[in-house]
Amino acid sequence: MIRLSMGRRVFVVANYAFLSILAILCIFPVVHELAISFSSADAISAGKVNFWPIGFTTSAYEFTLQKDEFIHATGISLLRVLLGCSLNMLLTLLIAFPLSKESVLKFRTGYVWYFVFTMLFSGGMIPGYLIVKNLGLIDSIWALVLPGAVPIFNVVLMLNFFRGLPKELEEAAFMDGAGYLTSLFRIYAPLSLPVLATTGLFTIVTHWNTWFDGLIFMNSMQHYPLSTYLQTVVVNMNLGSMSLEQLQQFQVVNQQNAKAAQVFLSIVPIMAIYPFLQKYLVQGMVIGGVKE
Amino acid sequence: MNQKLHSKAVLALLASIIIVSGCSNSDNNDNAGNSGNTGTATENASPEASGSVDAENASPLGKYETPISLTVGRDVGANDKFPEGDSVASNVWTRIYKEELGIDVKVAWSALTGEQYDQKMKLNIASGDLPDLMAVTTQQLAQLVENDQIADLTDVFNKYSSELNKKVYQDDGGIALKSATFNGKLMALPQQGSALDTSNVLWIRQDWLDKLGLQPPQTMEDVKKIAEAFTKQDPDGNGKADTFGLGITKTMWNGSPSLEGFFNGYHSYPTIWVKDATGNLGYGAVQPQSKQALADLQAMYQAGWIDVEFGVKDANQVNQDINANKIGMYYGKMYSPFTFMDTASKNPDIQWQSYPLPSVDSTPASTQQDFPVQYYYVVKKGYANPEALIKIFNLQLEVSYGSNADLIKRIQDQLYSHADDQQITSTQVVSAPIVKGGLPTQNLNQYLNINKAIADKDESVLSNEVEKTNYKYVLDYEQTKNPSSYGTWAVVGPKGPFKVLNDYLNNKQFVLTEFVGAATPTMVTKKSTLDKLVLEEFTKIITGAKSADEFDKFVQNWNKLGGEQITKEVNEANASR
Repeated sequence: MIRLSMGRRVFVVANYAFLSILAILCIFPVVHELAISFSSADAISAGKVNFWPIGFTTSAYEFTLQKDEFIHATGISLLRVLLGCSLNMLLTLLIAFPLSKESVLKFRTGYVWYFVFTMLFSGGMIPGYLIVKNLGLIDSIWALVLPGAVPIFNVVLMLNFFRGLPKELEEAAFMDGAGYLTSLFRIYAPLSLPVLATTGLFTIVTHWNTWFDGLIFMNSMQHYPLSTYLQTVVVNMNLGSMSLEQLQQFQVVNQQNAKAAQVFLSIVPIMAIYPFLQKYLVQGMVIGGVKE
Repeated sequence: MNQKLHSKAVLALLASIIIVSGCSNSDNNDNAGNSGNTGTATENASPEASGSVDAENASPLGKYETPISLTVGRDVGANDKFPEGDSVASNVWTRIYKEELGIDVKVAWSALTGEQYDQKMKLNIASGDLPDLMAVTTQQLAQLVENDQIADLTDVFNKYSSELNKKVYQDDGGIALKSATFNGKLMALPQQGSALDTSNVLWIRQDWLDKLGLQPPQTMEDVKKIAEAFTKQDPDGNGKADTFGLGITKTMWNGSPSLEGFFNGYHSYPTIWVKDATGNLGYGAVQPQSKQALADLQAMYQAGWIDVEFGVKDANQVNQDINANKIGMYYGKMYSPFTFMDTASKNPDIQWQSYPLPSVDSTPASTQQDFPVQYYYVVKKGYANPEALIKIFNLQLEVSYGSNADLIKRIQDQLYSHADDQQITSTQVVSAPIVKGGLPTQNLNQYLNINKAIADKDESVLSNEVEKTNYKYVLDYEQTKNPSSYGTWAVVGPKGPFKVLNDYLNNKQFVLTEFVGAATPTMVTKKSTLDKLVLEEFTKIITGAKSADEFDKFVQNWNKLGGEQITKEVNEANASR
């Protein structure tokens, strides 16, 4: 057994303490929100709820799960993640693979710059809106999926990962009569599980969380994905601009616990998949991020 | 990578920066206007602009023989709910517009009222993709007028508006219409609100006041005494020094709690434009009267009567303290009961009472009132039937306040056909018309009528459906202390803040902003910086980080950072109106 030096021990303790505090700082808001979602309205408005529910009630969850808008928006978000993630992964693979072939692809660096350029600069909101509108995509799920179909950051990650794989594997495949497509899907893709998991997680989280495109590309509120819908729910209402009738409804609607329940339910899917992909995350990032 | 490629990359980067900066310009008025103009030009040329002008009936509620089509950008309230089968696009109101007026409303797009709607509207203006009828902000209105994208409503307003419609815009002294008038032309129908409802009152825990044997405040000295007693004499009787005398927030203005009422007690009107000593318009916050108010707040802060953490607490957090029995006095608005009802409704011992603003001297304090119009309804230029907007609003007002019994019955039968539905209360369906707004005194009248009905035990004075509903709530709370009726009772009930508001009105104890209308050019660029400056400097003075004498230096600073230019522009704009 190796004995740790004094300095080392101090460092380890301090390090763990620091990281634990950091972790707690990240977890507490979630726990707080969870506690609110299970608390009664008067306890919440008196600011009594911290990390444990006061006046325990599940009514917020019953209310939320019966809400058609919430269920519908969740459906749209799931479809969006499914379509968006598959499209992103396919296009990322198809673009990263040729770009990783330094010796074969002519003007390779030019292509890379072409893609990286779009990562740094965008046309802006209004031109983007006009393109989507003139393509007739307004109010369609494709407006949420197509504009971000090629995530360049992921392409760069994957391209670097591919370059780190031994060329000999592909050469051997070619000897056996494989073409580039076979090589990509039978050799490279299976070997790239860490980077596939990493980029997959990125795209899932992005598609699940992005709300602004839902607002500008959807003309009808019933087409909002979950994140955009949540934005309409949790937005702080300006009481001053309300009529008396609206204020009366405010007493019905101002259910902090219902808001918290919806926010909490919306993070459940991401929390559910994260543990399964997390083990690949570090590996994928490190290998993909290094350029040799 | 070789050297050549590097220089190419640099060139590409440079080019892209130019492109990007060009693009970001599309946010600003000029370019947006250009694209918008091309949009309207093609719309103008399209044949559908011919419409059915000859077929329409010229009376305020006349029905179009051949239904006309009207596309709208629809703002949806956070609380709007629709019965089974109905939606934003097709609901009881769209059916009423079609049946009664022959107007076929099509929702081009919808978004949540507020920031989301504004964002969507901004996008539509910039891309020149406007619906026929839409609600826009003051800023957007000015932009649309400058770009010549919206119709002149002067003639249709004069010709088609009903008596009620005219009354809505006369009862405020014509100030709302004035804000929508550009070079003598009425370009929009303001969403009329109530300036009176924005008045400030002083909310006090009556039960604490009684317990400590104190009298309601008449002067600012009394306010300080109460603040001291509420801090030091343990009004909640829990044996702990955990209460504060006066609740204030980090954002200071706008809302409840807020500080306008405190400043009004010193005859300072911080967030509006007032006539200064020389007769010119000046911004309230930088007028000399603010100095004494700040000095007194500083003294109260140093005495421990104000929460030392106020600088990090927004209205929600301060309201939590209020609900947690930590604060017994604050300046706020008439709607405050809705923020403390969660606890007050369930515990009848908690008694909040509103009082008129105490004054620092022998002159009674006047409350400042904010300009209540936040949205303007405009019609796209080239739309064949701009009067449709006026008619839609006429119809709505007729339903709310009118005397045409047949029509009202026909419509109310539809409106309230879902009133039995558990999920949908009648008021929620009512809140979904396209053009909103009402008489500036509607809430006050409601208070007066309801309390007359209670005093005389005579329900016939209640003039409309909303008053009848709320009358029931008020009675319900008076008799049974039912918590869910508390909010309505506390606002329009016998002890509610409208008594104070009514006195303000009758005694002319109010100050309205002298400047209405679109932001001046320097306001657009500098106002947010200046607002921040006011907030920062005021916070510093209150917390004692700066002495109150630094106020004069702050005023100089404010002027230097654009305030002087804004004041000049405001005075010019006001003179030219």
